[in-house]
Amino acid sequence: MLKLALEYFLFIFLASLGVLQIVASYDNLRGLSFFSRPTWGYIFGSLAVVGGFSWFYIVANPHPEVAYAITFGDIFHYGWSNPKLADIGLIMGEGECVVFFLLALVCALLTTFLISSMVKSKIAPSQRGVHEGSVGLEALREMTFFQAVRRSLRKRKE
Amino acid sequence: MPIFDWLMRLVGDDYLIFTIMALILISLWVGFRSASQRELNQRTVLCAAFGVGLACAAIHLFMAFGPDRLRPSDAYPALVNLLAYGRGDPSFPSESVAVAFAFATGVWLSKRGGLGAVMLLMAALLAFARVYVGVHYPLDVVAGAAIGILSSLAAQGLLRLFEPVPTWLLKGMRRIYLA
Repeated sequence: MLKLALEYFLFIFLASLGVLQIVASYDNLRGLSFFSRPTWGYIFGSLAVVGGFSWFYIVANPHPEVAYAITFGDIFHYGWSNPKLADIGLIMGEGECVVFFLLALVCALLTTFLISSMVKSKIAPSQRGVHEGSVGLEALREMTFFQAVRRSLRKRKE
Repeated sequence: MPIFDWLMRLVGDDYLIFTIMALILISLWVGFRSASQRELNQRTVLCAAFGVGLACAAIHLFMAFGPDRLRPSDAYPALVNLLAYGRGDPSFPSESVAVAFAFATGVWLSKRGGLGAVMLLMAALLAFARVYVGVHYPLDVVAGAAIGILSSLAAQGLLRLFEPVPTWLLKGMRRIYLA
């Protein structure tokens, strides 16, 4: 179960990272993108998404070759009373998928914030015509996540 | 047709369609060209996610108190050629189809009709695949689809009813640069 959960986590992490890079390139969110040219964002994002799906379905292979499959949720609800126990495999249930999906998404977001902030640390927000009032993801068009957080903290002190 | 069987097994599995739909929602949340488009996209994602939550709750209530219908492969082992692994939980209604339709309807109800239509097509494909591989009866997936659609309609109504709450949520997330 843990192996499948980790494989699923890695799959979603890679796919989310790729989607974030594609969207950042397409919608010109320069503070989220790892690259200065959108083309590299598309290439990296596509490779991450396609690579994540290919790896999960070809290498990790989430379909156990068993007659029966159960989830942790099934065990909790129905116990091990099923008569076909001899040929049984564990799969991820909907609830488990949601938990690992959200975990992987949060990790992908944090990784995106960290890498883009490091790579784009030299963006100078004040010199690039940033609207002081821009909030939320809109602000990440011209500054990195950590620059935006710093700006918010500075505003509060003032 | 082994290739068609393989394709249906892939489409009808527990991960593919949901992952694609969830990735579409992530791209809607993050991607926008203008402030109005951002508002529309993020409210669409809220509606779809809330609809999925309602659909899951409804299905679990139904499974807890409704009839315990055996899977086709368990009820008719000699007749059903099971292409995937069997499941021990009740067959009726289909939770996976309900979730897929809740996702798709949530997007379709907003002004992103084209994308919603594509997602509804994906949900319908999932429903067909679940019956084809032998893990559900047609009535299971029809009931699942109805629950998913109704859940998203209810989610949209509830979000409108409790209107300041979604706005506060979005404002709060914008303050920490997540929306």
